[in-house]
Order: sequence, then C-alpha cells, then structure tokens
Amino acid sequence: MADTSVNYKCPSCSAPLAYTPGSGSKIKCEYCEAEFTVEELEKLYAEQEAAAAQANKVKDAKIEKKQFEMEAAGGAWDAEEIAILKAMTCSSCGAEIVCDNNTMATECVYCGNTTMVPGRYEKQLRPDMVIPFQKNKEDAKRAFAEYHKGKWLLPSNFANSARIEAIQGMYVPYWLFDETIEAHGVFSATKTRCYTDGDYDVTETDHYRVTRAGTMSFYNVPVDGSVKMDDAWMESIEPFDYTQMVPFNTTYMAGFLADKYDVDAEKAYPYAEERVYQSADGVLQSTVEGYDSCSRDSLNVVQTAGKQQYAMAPVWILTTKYQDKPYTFIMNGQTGKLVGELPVDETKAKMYWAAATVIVLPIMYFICKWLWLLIMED
Amino acid sequence: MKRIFTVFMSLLLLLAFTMPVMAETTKVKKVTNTVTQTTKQPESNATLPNNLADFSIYDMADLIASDQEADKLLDKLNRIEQKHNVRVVVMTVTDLKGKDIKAFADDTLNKYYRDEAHNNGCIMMVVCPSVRKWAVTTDNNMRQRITDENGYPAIRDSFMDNLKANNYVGAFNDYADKVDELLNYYEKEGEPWDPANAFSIGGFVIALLLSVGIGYLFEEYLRGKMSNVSFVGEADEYLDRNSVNITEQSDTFLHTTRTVTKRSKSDNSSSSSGGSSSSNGGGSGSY
Repeated sequence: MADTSVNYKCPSCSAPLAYTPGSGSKIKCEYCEAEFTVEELEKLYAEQEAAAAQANKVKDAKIEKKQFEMEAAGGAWDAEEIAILKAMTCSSCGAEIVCDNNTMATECVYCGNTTMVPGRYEKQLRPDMVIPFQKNKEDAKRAFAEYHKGKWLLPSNFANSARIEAIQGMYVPYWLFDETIEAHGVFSATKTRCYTDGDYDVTETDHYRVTRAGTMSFYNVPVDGSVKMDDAWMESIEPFDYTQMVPFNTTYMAGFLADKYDVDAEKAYPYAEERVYQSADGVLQSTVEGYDSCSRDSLNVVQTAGKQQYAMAPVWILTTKYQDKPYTFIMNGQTGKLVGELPVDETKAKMYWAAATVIVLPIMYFICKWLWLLIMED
Repeated sequence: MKRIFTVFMSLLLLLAFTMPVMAETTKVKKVTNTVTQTTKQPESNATLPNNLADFSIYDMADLIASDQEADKLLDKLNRIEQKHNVRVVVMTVTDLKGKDIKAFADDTLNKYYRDEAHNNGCIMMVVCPSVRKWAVTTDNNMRQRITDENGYPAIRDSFMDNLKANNYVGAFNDYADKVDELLNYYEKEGEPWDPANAFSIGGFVIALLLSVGIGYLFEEYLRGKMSNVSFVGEADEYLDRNSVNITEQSDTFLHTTRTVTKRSKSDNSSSSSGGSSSSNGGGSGSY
C-alpha cells in the first residue's frame, strides 16, 4: 500500500528545498544557496523519476523471489479504512507516512520535511492556477500578535498564556468562476413630499414601478473547494490579488501542506451564483436614482457565458490553546489578512455594559428630561 | 322731628363705630360680604370698591357656592399670604364690558393690590364665566418668584382641568396650592422654579432604559470585535465595472397616496403675556 512521495531536494547538496514566499518563480536552497528556476527543477525531477521507476522494477523483481508469510501478523483493513487512509514513504528519510485521501502535501512526522503525494493527483483535476505565498511564518505570527491589540474583552492572561501551538502554511483548493450575466430587475420606488395645509400636515407619496436590465461580467469569483475549511472563514480572508496568480506548478507547493478539492465545481457553483446575484441586485439598484426609497420586487439573473478554474490559494493556519480550548486563526498567505475568533471574558463584558450604562445615563437623562417636558407641554 | 334726627344720628354713630371692627375681620368675613355684594350689583372696573385690597377673594360671579368652601379657600390664601408675605387673590366677574380680561386683571392688581407691606409681590386670578375667560396676573416682584416662562405655565396647567369642568372651587384651590408650591421652592432654592432643574422621574426611567440599551449595544460592539469571521455574501470585488451595460431603464408612475394629519395644538387658548407688559406677568385664555 505504500506509495512513493515526492519532495524536492537540492540538486547541488541534497538538502530539502522549500519555496520562499514572495520569491517569484525561483527557488533557493537554504543550505548551499544554489538557485534554480521552477522549469529547471521540473526537468531534473522528471529525469529522476524515470530513473527511480526503472530501479523499482528491478527491486520488485528481487522481492518476488523471496516472499514472507505475512498472513498471520495483523488484521485486515476494512473497505472504509482503505477508502480513507493512504500510506506513503517519505522520500527524504524513508519513513512511512499515513494521511487521508484529500491530502496533497503533508509534513513528515519523523524528519519534518514537507512531502507531496503524487498518487493523490491521479484521479483528480490538476489545478490550473496557483497563488504563491507572499507572507511567511513570521508575518503570520506578527499578524496574530497584532490581532490581539485593542480587544477590550480579551481575557487578561490570554496574551501570556496562549501560545501558538502550530502554524502551518497550506494551499487550499478554490474554484474560480467567471460569469457574464444578464440581469433584469423590477423595483418599487417612492418619492415623498410633506407640506402644511392650514391646520393639517400633509404627506404625499408618489409610487413608481422601476425596471432596470443590463449585462455585466464577474471574474474569478472564489468558492473554496474543501469541506474541511469553513466557508465563512475562507470568505473572510478574501480578496486575493489575482494579478499575482500564475499557472500551477508543484514547485510552488514545496514546503507547504496542500489539500485537493472534495467539493467539485458543480457543487461549488451555487455559492458563486448567489454572490453574483446579490451583486447584480446592487448594481441595478444603484442606477435607480432620484427616489426617496427603493425596494426590490423581483430580479432575474441569467448566465450567458462562464467558465471555471481550479486554483490553489495560500493560507496560514495558526492554532492556539487557551484554558484547554483550541482557537484557530487563518491568515491569507498572500495579503496577510488574518481572521479568527478570540475568547471573550464574560466578566469584562458585563463590566463594560454596566460602565457604558453609567456613563451614558446622565447625558441621556438630560435629553430625556427635555423631551419629557416637551411632551408634557403638548 | 328732633327725635327722628336723634335716632338717625345715633344710627350713623353706631355705624361709624362698628365699621373699624368689621375692617379688622375683613379677611375672614369678606367672602360672605362679597357673595352678597355680587348678587346685588353687576361689576365693572368702575364699580370695584376702594377697599378691594382688603379682599383676597372677590366673588362677584358667585362661583363659590358654599360659605364653607369659601372659608376654607380664604384660610388657605391667608396662610400663603402670611407665610410668603405676598398677596394671592381670586376674583370672579360677571361681565368684562368688552375689556380684555388680562388688561382688566393687570389694572385691578396695579390699582388695588400693590402695597409696600407685601413686598414679595402680588398674584391674582380672574375668571369671567359669562365669556369663559380667565387670566392670571403678577406684579414684577412676583415675576421674579413665579416666572412667565415656567411658573405661570405650571399654574395654568394646574387649574385648567377643573376650570374646564366648571369646578371653580377646585380650580381656585389648585391655583392657590401651585402658587404656594412655587413660592416655597423659591424660598428654599433661592431661584424661581424651573422644570429643567426639577428631577423628572419619567425622564429618568426613559433615560435608564435607553442607557441600558446603549450599554448593551456597546458590549455587543466590543464582542463583535473579538471575531472578524463573516460571510461576504456578494461578489462586488470581482465585478468588472467596465463591463456593466444598462440595456433597459423605465420608470412608470403608478399612483399617489396622501395622508393628512391634524397638527397638534395646545388644548387651551391661553397666551403668555410675559413679554407684553413691563409691569405685569402671567397670561390669559379661554376654557
């Protein structure tokens, strides 16, 4: 069941190679400082893989001659386990690594090297694009420290006791949808005027039926393709800068974890469609001008052209623990935008509520007393 | 003839000796005299007696039906007058002869009730039931204690309900009580009563509720800052603004709705005369 994994080693000194965030299409060895382009590494590894395949054939032929009796040891994996688990050999230290079906790249628990799992890609679409990491681990730590600041309800000892337990760079699968749409909306709008007629206040409201239709295009509307990643969290770290997006190449994944998609494009599309629908509504409503109020009666959106791309987007995942409860934070590996939920000190929350009430009360009292006097005079 | 002359002179002398005695007790007896007097002769400014200042209640329209009520009201007025060294007068008239009731009240107060003895001021309430008008007038000393801006409206509001219900005795008592209350306030605080300075329970309750609400919103705001995870919901970031092409625009008028509401008005027609006269304050109105 073991499979061969791939990690990039320096052709010069054999040290593990990792992509340095923000280094463009070049990879530099941290140990001997040799520098290689993505294309050079791809060519070298294609040659190595061909040689390794030939060597395996010879090795397998030798093993066939000397089979051991293995049936007595251990039990049999059931079908469900076989479907989920996958074992592979770390190409750096030779240890066996177990991972699940969605893992594209993982970290070897023995030598710590990040290893890609080629077998994972076989029955999957190859990503079209990749957004390389621009932020490194230190950036993520700084963003996390910065995120604490100004949080009045943060438990006093959180900053001291909560240590980052794990921080991992990961490529998350995304579907990017391009859509050109025709939108047709009907709105109810009103114009209101008020005037005085003798002893009477008169309010006249003119009602209008407003129709707007138009075409518009959206590019690269992202929907995350991973069930494991919460949609709200992944939307929260948007947007990504697509000008830095490049055609997919496994070299960019060196040094990072990665998941393959487990939500296909067909399942992901309704999320993109809903977001496009809401934006189309906003665009059409923004053209309804000169009215005092406007509300949507109906909106029809028809897609006239569209396509999707499969892309990998960079994310830093930070895990911390406070009072035995884990807290996870996610940072956009390209823009540095960090999102997460901090613990709330409930005692502090109540105190701030009470303090705000006490501070506001005198001001509100004078305002209300004045209003009360006006009411009583009427 | 000589006997008749002697008897007549004796009667005159008797009357001359008894008058000062009656004058000593005018403030107690006056009401009965007034009631009797009113029923017999219709009033006008010209017909008011020269000793009108002796009367704290001058009820020519006979609105105070019973002597008991009159005595009780008079006691109250006398007590207030002595306590605060002021004149507090109630007058009713049957006919104004076309004269403005406020002007009549001002003239009467200035002519009959101003004196050095009561140097803390005078206040008088005049009611004319035939035209259903009322007036409250104050002199300048009283205006410093009961201001036209705050004190007078408070007095007016205190008696209007009873006045509208033709409960005149109730209205006069309300008037007296409010005058006493405002003068007490002045003497205690050293400044005229101003509702803006008084503690408002209604205002406090509303302020407390609003403050608790604002405190809660502030706490929710702080709680919201602890997380920045949220759905985006739209795709505005990914819209190519140059691609937007509006192909159809039509605005169709459907109909007009019209709502008419009567403007809120004060439920009485009283008007403050605080700035209308340099020597008198107060105001007047209808009921």
